[in-house]
Amino acid sequence: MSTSLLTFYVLIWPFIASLVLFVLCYGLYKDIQEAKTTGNELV
Amino acid sequence: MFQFSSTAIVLLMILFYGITFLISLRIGRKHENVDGYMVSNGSIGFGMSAASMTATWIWAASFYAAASAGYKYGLSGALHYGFWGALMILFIYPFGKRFRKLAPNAHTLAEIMHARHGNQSQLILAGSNIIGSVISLMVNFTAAGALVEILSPLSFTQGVIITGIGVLSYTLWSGFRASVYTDFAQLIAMIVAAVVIIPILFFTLGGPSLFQTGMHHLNAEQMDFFSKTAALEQGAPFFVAVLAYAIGNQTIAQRLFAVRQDLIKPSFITATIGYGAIVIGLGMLGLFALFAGIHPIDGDLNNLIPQMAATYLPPFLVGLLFIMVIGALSSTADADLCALSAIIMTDIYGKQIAKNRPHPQKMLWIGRITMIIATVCGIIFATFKFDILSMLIFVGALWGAIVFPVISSLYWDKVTAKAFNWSVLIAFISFLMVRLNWVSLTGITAYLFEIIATIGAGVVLGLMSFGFFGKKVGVIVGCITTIILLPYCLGFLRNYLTLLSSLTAYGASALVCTVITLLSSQKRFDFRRINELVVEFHSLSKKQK
Repeated sequence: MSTSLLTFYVLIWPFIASLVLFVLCYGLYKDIQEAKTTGNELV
Repeated sequence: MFQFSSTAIVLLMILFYGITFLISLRIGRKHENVDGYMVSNGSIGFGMSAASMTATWIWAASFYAAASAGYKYGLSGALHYGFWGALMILFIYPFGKRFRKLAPNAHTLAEIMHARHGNQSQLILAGSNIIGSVISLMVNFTAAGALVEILSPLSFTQGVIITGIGVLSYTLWSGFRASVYTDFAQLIAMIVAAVVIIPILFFTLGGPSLFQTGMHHLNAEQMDFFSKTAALEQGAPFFVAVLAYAIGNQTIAQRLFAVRQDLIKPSFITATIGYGAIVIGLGMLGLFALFAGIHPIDGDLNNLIPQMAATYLPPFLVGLLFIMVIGALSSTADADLCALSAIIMTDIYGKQIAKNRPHPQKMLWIGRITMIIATVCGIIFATFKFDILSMLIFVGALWGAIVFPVISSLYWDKVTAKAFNWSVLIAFISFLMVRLNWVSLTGITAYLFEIIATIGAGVVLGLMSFGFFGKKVGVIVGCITTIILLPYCLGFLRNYLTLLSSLTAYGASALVCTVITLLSSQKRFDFRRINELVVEFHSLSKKQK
């Protein structure tokens, strides 16, 4: 494995984790919107 | 090596648990609903449920074991820990959809088994769930004590006690609802810390040049991305446990029963990706240590992450790492408390003592008292410092013995209670015979167990395929796997006891369950009866009034 490929291999995981963070935050935003619309509680 | 003062570490923990407690107050009710205490409203949204599943599945062992795997096995080590752990979340969701379809109002998997097979099968499943959750609780408290001990002058026991009280404080009143609600904040803290710490540690150690200067620290196996050693010692036993941990763990079942039914798939796929990225990323810290030639303190691989943080990171980031680990173990510990309380409330009090006529308020307090007792037990057991890895392997095998009987019972209407109970018992005894060397693995005995284990491998892959693609594909994959693997496994598996014993549990349970079922003349079970027998407790009490 080349150095650049190894660097990509070790740093891709925190990058994917940060994408998941955005997806979850957007999901929570949608949950809150839906809870307001339906009158249900979040949990 | 950097250490916090006693005051600083106590303040950090008070800050973390104080904020978590305040968050839980936002959803607290004076009169909690007994079903809400166990599975919330049964229609939690995507963001909340995906975050909760991810946070629950990332526990203290995820950090230490992933980094240890990266350090021990090199390039592929972290993958062999995080990838299979992530698949545990992915492979349960097709079965989870089936559980919800059969019993939309269920609180525990054992409760469904009670409706399907009666008391004995329910107690077998509930008992294995309880053992697993108590061990998990103990592991998380142990990790907290060890972390406090290494990063401050405080003792191991003091760290364990502060953590136990902290987790109980925000979980006790609202139960599962508080656990899910606080999971989101805890996961955000975890992800932010991981995303910041991993690259900083990488570049502090030299960045890309680390791979050139440190390559001589790796042996040939550690340099091999497709290392056979890593696959057989770390990957295979973990892969075998994928379905076992998913079926045997009440914390997953609880989230399956809590999320809105149409959101099970997206929530669990997101949790799979989130878990994989965070845990494999943290496993890379072990790989960095290997390249940098760092030796863990006292030769204990569990010291690797705190040691690297304390050596190479500024105090602020050490504090961030501390919060990340405390957040990870707290989110799992609170889920274990909720799992234990749900099992005692539903399977012991609701079904066995109150005979399906529970008093909701009494049931709620039984749940809270269970949490207090479980926390005290977790703290006491943690101070004994048991060999946790051995216990986890045992629990994994115990759960391996129940996977086929549980899944087949909820799809195949001919499976009987007798088939369920005997298959679990014989599978567990078979596992013990191999794992504890009760039999000498030579000659025909070794071949017999290797054949059963190879069938077990077919069962594992067959069930995984069955979940996604149905019965026909599952049976074909299972049969082909067994036929292809048999020549390779004979004379080979006996050298890998952990793998052989785990696969034996799968193979024996599937064989016994299938044979007894086929020989039975009992009439077929009507799956619609499960929904009639598994009801919401609060609506039940209204009917009684």
